[in-house]
Amino acid sequence: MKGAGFAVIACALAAGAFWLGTQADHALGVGPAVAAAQGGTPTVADRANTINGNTVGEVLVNGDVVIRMRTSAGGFSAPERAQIIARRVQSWLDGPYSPYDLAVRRGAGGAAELRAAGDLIVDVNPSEASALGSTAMGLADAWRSNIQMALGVQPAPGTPLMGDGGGSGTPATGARQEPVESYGNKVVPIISVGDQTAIGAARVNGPDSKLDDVIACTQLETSFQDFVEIDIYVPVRTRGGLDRVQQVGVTGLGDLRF
Amino acid sequence: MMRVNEKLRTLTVLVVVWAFVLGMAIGPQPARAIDLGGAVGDLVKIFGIGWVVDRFSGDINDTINNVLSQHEAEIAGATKVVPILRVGEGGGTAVGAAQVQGPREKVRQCQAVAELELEFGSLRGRALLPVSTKSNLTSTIRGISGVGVSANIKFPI
Repeated sequence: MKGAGFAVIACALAAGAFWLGTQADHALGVGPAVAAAQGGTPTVADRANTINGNTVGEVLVNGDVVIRMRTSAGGFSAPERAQIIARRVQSWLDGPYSPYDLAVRRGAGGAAELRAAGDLIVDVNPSEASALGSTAMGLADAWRSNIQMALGVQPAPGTPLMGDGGGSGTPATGARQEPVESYGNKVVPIISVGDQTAIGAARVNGPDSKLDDVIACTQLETSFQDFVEIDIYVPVRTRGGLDRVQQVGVTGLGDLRF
Repeated sequence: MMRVNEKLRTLTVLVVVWAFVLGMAIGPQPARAIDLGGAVGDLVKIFGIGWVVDRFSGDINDTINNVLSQHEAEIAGATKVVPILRVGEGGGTAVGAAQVQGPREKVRQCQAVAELELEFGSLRGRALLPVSTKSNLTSTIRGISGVGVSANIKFPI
């Protein structure tokens, strides 16, 4: 009887100690989950994914998809191309770098090149771009912005083009440089996806160069737990399309009262 | 008898220390979405929108990003779900929620979206300003530059 009582007390003490341990881990941040989320060096990864039945290759920086390859080229499949690009990005980030080392230049045959401190990151071919309804230069610029945003800085518009020999005009350090482009506002119609009729108006805010591209906001609707209603706004280049203009967000909604 | 008690005490201490270390090693379990089968509405009524947003912000954020991913319209940069607070009501009471987007560091600063209602005749508008505070929301408040709203989350109660 005495032994059973002792066992119960011991179990209670052990359970209390276990709970205290989890709380100490949470408070002090010494657990493996916390440690994995920290670290100053950007992480680069690649993966194959399937979107709408097509296999694509994705490059991730700090967990964000920054480049998505949809086509094969040079005998390499889309996931293989993503793997090669991830290796190049990793190599660039392993050394002293600045997010503003990235620059876009015009390539041969309508292609575009994204380079980091003069070294090639990715060749953007026109077919890759047209699959997204964009141009090679436009897509390369979007990927450059994606990488810079994943590295935690504002994308710099009009980064000077670099020569083949490398050597960027920016210091080769991890120091931050704030871009100087001004932000503006614009009012555009809100249109349901795949539709043409405006269902409201949105004020969008973003860098001036990006705002010029936005002609509407496409609205997607979804729900959470069958209770919460969610309207998603995608600033786009085409009415009712989903060709998102990055770095632009909504700062106001308007409608007509009848 | 004394020796047995001493052994038991030592054993107890060892078990307690082992349990503490085990707790430290495993850590708190991450919050996971649970199917509440429509109970979110009840939670909103009991605890308020702010509590529900705080509790489910990560899951709602993932839901939105998954929808965008399926449509190949993902957001480059960071996203986060924060409460919408109405300007002029002293702050603190959420009237909805919004997903905000922008550079990671600026999104991290964002604590709420300040809502300001405007009317011009038959036109009605809502300014939605991502802000870095949940209090002192007056009509002079300024939004965080570079951060915008990407989704409006409504709680039909």
